Amino acid sequence: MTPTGPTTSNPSEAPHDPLLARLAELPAVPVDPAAAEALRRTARAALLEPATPPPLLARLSLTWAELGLPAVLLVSGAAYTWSSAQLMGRIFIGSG
Amino acid sequence: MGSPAVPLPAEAPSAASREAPTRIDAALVDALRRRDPAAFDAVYARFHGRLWSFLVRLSGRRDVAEDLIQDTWLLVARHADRLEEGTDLAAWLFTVARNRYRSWRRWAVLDLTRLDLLAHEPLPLAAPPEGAAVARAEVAALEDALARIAPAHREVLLLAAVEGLEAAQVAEVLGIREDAARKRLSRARAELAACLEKRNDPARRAALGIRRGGER
Repeated sequence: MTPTGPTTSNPSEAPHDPLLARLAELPAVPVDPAAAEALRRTARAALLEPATPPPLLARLSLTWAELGLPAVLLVSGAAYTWSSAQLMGRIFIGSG
Repeated sequence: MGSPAVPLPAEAPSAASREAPTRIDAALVDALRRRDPAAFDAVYARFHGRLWSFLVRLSGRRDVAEDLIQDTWLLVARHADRLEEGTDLAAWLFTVARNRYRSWRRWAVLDLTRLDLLAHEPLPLAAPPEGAAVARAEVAALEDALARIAPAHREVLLLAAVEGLEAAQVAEVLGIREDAARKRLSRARAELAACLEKRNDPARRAALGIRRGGER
């Protein structure tokens, strides 16, 4: 039988759930002190770097993604819908 | 689906290092916003080990976790000045780490050369505690079961049970409501219990808190 523990009927027992309690007691994964120190230094250097504006390519890419591409999709979608409506009209209404 | 919710721990389950947001946190956030290196060192000293454990267990691989922890701390350092006043420091840091993992996982799924990283059998990750062989086997069983359950369930168990974050913090990290986080924890616990039960050996039964004969 799969043990269900106090997950269902008595929520107040949840803090005493043996499975969750044993998870809380799992030992920390050992850290390599040298690697941790190297990473701290690298990140600290990044913290102290002066904020620089993003490069031109990044700004262009952002502009394209936020403005250019949506505009292209909107215009092409509208054109497709309009031409489809025209074609449907010619086929089924027979104008001319 | 339809699992009753398990309350997330209202308080940290074990250690003093698993504290709720405090005045110290608020002071650290203020200092980080000013890019104070001493504050960064303090945050790093407090959270590096926890984030490392979280990422190793979440990804199931040390080599992947090394990249993810590096990305996490570099992002934290670069965007420290964008922190908002009153930010929950622990929740923010675990959110950054989780987002790095999710981003890596998306690319690993798309990148056939990295697909094997997702399929690898996770190794025992944590050093066994001092003590009896049963205790070591229990830890190994739990680590193995954690590695086998669904990533969404693994992360909620890691945040709520292993790292001892509060309900609001878990919900913030996962980007969901508190009640949804509780339900997810309930489902995650059930999956973990079922995974442990599959093996059904004494150590795993001990991990579930089951005595001989089936009773708790």
